[in-house]
Amino acid sequence: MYRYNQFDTEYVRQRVAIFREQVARRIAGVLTEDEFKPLRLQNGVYLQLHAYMLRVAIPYGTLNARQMRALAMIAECWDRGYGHFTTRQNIQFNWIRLDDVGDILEALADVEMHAIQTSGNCVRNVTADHFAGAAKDEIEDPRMTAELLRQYSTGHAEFAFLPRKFKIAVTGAAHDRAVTAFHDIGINIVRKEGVVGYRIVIGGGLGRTPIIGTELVEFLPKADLLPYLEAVLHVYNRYGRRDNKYKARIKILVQELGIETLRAEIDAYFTATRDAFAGVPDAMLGAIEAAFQPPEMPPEMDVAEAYDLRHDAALSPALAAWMETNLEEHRDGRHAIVSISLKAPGATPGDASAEQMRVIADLAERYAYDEIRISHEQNVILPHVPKAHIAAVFRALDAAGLASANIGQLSDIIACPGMDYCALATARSIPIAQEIATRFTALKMERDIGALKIKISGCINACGHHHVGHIGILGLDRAGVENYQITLGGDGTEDAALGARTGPGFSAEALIPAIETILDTYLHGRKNRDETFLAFYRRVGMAPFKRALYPPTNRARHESAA
Amino acid sequence: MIDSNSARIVVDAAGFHLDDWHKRARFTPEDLAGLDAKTGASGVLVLDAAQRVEDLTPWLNVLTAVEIGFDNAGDGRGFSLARALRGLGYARDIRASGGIHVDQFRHALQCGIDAVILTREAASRMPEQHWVNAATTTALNYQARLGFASASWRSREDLNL
Amino acid sequence: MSAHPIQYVITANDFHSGAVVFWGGDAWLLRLRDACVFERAEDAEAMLTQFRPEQVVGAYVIEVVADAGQLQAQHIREAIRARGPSNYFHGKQAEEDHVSL
Ligand code: HEM
Ligand code: SF4
Repeated sequence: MYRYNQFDTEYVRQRVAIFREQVARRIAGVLTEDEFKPLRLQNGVYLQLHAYMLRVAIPYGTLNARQMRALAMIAECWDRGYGHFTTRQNIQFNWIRLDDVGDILEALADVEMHAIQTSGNCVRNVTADHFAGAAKDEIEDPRMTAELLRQYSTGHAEFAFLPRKFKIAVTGAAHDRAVTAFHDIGINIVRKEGVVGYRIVIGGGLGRTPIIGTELVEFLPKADLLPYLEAVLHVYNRYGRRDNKYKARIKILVQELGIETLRAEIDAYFTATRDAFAGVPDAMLGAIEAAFQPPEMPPEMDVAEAYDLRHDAALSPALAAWMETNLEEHRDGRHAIVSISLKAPGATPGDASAEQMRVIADLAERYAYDEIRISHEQNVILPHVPKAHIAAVFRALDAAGLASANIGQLSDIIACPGMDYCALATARSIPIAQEIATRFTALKMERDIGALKIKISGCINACGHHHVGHIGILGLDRAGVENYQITLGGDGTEDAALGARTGPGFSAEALIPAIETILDTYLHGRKNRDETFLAFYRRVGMAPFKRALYPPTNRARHESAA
Repeated sequence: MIDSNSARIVVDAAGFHLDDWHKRARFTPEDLAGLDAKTGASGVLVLDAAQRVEDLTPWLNVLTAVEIGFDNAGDGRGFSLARALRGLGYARDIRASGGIHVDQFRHALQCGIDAVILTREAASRMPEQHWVNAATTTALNYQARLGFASASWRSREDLNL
Repeated sequence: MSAHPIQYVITANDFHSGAVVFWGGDAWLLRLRDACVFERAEDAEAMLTQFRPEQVVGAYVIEVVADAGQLQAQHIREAIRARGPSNYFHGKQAEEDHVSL
């Protein structure tokens, strides 16, 4: 794992000092709130409904036990004992006092963490495949690229005041677990004629105008990545729209200029400035590369045979069920990838208590080479667990209420904070997630339904990724009353697709029955159990769902209510 | 002490100065076609943030003073404009004016802007010491470490000015 | 429609803590029920320019109704701000009546 060098440490400390000084100037009345707001946002501090919120970056989702314990400590000392992991591999603390932020940032700096550029119109926390370094289908660990980009984008003077935020995701595997098609820049590590390089996708995004990204470069040599991105950002900064914040993301520039014109602009700047780029010094590249080598294993591992997990499964049905959903094959047959679900039915998706964070930290340290990941699906991953210890890990998780066996299933719901916390929300999302998960797990439908991604956002900004949910739910405000729009068929992977709206929205009370209707339509219509919800939708389309959701009598009622 | 009421104030990494450009002729890119080199060299070219500076190439070794207007504090186009000018080889003074404040001074300096032009009101609200402190924070620079210590990031010393 | 007339209250977030506060007539208070109630929106709006920025952030006017003597925020968002989130017993609903900011 990457450890801060002296420069990183000095940089982060300096940023803490600068922020403390900015807060002091704001308190003294030297800075107005309008001037202060962008400054606090560049340090991850929002004002939400009930308090300030601090968003802490977890670069490319990687943490060690010490860092996880620091998050637990922050949750206990300065918040209400928990934190909320987000779809962008960040953690949010919901009950922060502005006066405490300096101390919290200092505590983060102590464990090589920060909240820099987790908000504002700048390059945000760079995300990556949460199975990086463990996935079987990986060409190269995407975190090397993501760390290079973290350094490159941090404090970049030219790009601190872009037209709008700028999100980059990196994947090194064929199966896209990082939603790269829906980022301002998606980076896919590819191999061409034996050489590793990048496929660059631009202008994807969710929000008000969901768009699947367009290929900008088919194959970019690795050494060109930074000057090329510099050209992309330069062109965006100069020509991205600033007159309308809903049209300010780079996806709109791609649409308005056309990919050819935009590419020509970028290429012109890239060609003109590339020679002035000396290249990343070998020592720096080497340090980054060294930081993402496979974990150092004890000598016993050299002779270890792959442990047969079927023994454990035979002894405990609960463990067997959990292994079925929460384990993923590791590239090294002696290990498995463990997903720890933060989606106990009825709990708040993505929330972990300080105590749970400590349990995870202990397990990572004891059994999993001190490595933890946060996934964009708001779960925690132990990427390298020796199979011999899967049972022990399961028992410890179970005791902490962390053994929900539901990864990739109905109750593994992504939900943004929604109107319970978020100042931008138009409706609540957490209670909807809670209700869906409790209702349908109680009905024991989950296993039968199988693979299903439900994603809920509390407003059009789509932090809950609803457009790419197999079932997406968007909470809106209809004359002061919460109303929920349903989309079907979204997919955030390499087969990227945007969900299509079923039709008119549903009140909070009508939403759960509507979801039940959708699930029944699938269960009754599928060819067999192997046909997943998404496959079924792709085969039959929207029509049967529409018929079931809006029978003629109801339709009249809907329209008169609309 | 700066006590003239007429002139604006200019702040560079060393601190406050009186605006020494206020007597110079000011012109915009459209005016360039009708100018001779001598006038071009003695006046100030005023750019707004939407300018395509690539079109100014023939003038870049004539001009000695460029002022980039920042529409408001949230509009970072001027930073890219300055970098583009430096990238094109323009090596003389660049100043920023308009909605730019002390917490953006580091950004301005790192993008090749030499100084910021302030109104009296802005200068009294943002004291000199804040600007000087902000200028020192340019020292920690990830981009320079990564190989971007290029023409567009050049310091005054490198230019032997 | 509500049988009760719509009235107006000024709300904001405390600058230091971020806590939800309501204008009580001469101070910012933590409880909606202690808020100063305006009969006319214009009168509440007129107050907005008078607040000191180092005390609160983003003061604005919300609609309330007095139902059986209880002030209720009209919009769900304001009801949540006045009460606390629905997923945890946190925020106003969990606080003592006279916590300090
Ligand atoms: C596939 C290779 C491995 C095998 C077959 C293996 C097997 C075992 C066995 C048989 C025990 C004794 C369990 C007991 O007494 O109940 C043990 C203990 C332990 N192993 Fe491993 N192990 C392997 C790899 C690792 C690795 C790589 C780590 C650390 C990253 C690790 C951490 C531990 C710890 C902490 C204990 C003590 C557990 C306790 O007392 O509860 N093991 N291992
Ligand atoms: S989707 Fe909307 S409600 Fe949800 S977190 Fe994002 S901005 Fe807030």
